[in-house]
Amino acid sequence: MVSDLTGRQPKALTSALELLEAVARAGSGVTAAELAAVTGLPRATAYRLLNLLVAEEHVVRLPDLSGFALGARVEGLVEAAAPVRVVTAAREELARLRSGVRAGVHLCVPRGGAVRVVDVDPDVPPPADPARARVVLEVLTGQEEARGEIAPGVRALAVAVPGPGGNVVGALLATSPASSATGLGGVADRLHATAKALGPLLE
Amino acid sequence: MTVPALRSVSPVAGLRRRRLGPLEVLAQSVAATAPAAAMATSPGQAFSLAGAPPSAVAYLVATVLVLLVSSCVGQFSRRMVAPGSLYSFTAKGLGGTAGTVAGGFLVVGYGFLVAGALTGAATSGAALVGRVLAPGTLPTVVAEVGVLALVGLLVAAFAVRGAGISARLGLALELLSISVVLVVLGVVVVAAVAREGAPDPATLVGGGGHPFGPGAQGLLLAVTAFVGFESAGSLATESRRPFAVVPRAVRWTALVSGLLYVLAAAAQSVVFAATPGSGAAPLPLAAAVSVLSDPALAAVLELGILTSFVGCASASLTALVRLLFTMGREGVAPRSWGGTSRFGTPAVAVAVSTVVAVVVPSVVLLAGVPAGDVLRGLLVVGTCGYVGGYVLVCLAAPVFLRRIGELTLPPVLVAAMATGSLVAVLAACVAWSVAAGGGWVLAAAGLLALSVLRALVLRRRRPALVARVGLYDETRRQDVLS
Repeated sequence: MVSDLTGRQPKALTSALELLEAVARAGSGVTAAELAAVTGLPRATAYRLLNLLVAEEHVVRLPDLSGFALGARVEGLVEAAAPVRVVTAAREELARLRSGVRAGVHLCVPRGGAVRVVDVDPDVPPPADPARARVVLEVLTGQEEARGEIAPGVRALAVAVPGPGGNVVGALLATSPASSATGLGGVADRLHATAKALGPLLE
Repeated sequence: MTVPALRSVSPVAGLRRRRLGPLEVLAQSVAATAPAAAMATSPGQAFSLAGAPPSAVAYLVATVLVLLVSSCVGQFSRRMVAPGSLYSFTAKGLGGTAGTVAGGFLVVGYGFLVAGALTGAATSGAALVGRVLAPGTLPTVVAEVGVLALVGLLVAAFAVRGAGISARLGLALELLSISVVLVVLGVVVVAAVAREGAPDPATLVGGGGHPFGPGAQGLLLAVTAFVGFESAGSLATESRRPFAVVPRAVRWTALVSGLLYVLAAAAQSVVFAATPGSGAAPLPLAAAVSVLSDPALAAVLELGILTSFVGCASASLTALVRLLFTMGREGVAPRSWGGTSRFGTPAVAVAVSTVVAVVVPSVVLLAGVPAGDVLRGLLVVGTCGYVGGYVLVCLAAPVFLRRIGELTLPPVLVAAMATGSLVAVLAACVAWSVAAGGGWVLAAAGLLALSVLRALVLRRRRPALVARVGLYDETRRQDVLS
């Protein structure tokens, strides 16, 4: 709420982000006094805000208790925001699959606790957001294959992309109108074959 | 810039990390403080001790004092996670020897509080049994020892099974007990005013001219009502977001309990002024309720007190065993105490402490000491242990902040005020006890002296061990962005 941002709060928010940035720049082991000096904040303010950042686990204290480092929570933030690049070899695999099946084919990967759609079929745009499709979530949480509808009248089939370590590194989603004569009948095997080839390329 | 090596396994591995939510952590502090039991028994004890109705002023001053201590403890709990809580905090500020002394003080504090809470449960439980059975069927002392052993077993089982299970239930029961006590107080205050007329405002200040009692024991008893408020810290390792959750739980427990105590003391100064004879009963408020109102209401009150004391025993045991666990891991106490069960709880420490906390008060009760005296005595000894620990942790706070380069002026002032007043209360109580010819405060002083002696002997015999005490849950490699 806008009305919550009154008084000293906008300043505190800015200062906290400045401190976070300063910890990132200075690297592991920087002390509170050094951070206050770098950001130009009054020491008492800097210490209070640092303790808040520690409380929320964006920043951690190192075992000597005087040094700071970025917390694992920032890792989730960075991962969720960074663009996911799909290498050319993987794009070629997808193109080969798309030319062989009469269905829209899309690729999703898990990043920073969320699902990212990294490659959408240019010829058959998905009728709904693949990142929210139930079938995609099902394969990303452990099922090898899931079938269902992604939108009224549109069938969907998702298969897991297995990584080199046996973990799931992505989901390959095929969509086709329920009225289509061929449907998703013979697609599953080809989807699995492509998923196997994609696995090593997504790491 | 040197980057200290990070471990991948925490020194307190075995406890279940990051499982408990804010409510369970708050429940620990609230249950250990047991505001319902303290509201219903603490002013009554001040009454029996001083012979004059209790003073709300003593509880107001104690609230301020405890908030100062909470601020000092917060300096640590916002910066480190340690199941040994105040023990590890003191060691980080004042060094290993002072830490070992604080550890001894806190074992006395938590240990006697467990025994005291069990005794409190036994007193109210026996009173309830006495209402159900025909008079003379069962000697009171047998009922007391029976309830004590039963409750001891129950809380030991809870402590082994894990903190999370019983915490929510405990918090709900405590809230219910607080409501019961408030309602009962309301009823008897109305009855007392109806009988004696509107109270003289001077009664509310109470204490018969000494708001803190003749030797500051009134103030010590008021502080007793709060002890345990800091114990959320012992669950820090097992809590999610401990740096945010633990300080908040500690501060709110102190503040809300304080308000309840001031209210309860003011009400009871009116009630006891109308029932001067009730001071001799083991539970003076229950006696006053029986006189002023329905004995059935006294039974409800006793049930509320019983529940609150059971919660207090359980939570104090939870804190005590994590302290003993820390000492076991360090090698200051037997290594086996540092072991954990398959439930992720320090089961050996639970067994050892339960046996001691059940046997000691049972023996004293069987020796014929009245239950009211045993309860007050155990709580006073426990409080002296706590106050000793509080003094050390308050002294340690500014030193710790200086060591890590984060010292500012306000924490120094807070620590100075807290330490000064706590020492003054302790000194006044000891002086009064000496003048009055012994008693529980002197027993406490003896135990505290023993703790200091033990720390000094340990430092002489095993200096390397003492230098390393103050185990805490370090940041692990996987907690840092790599």
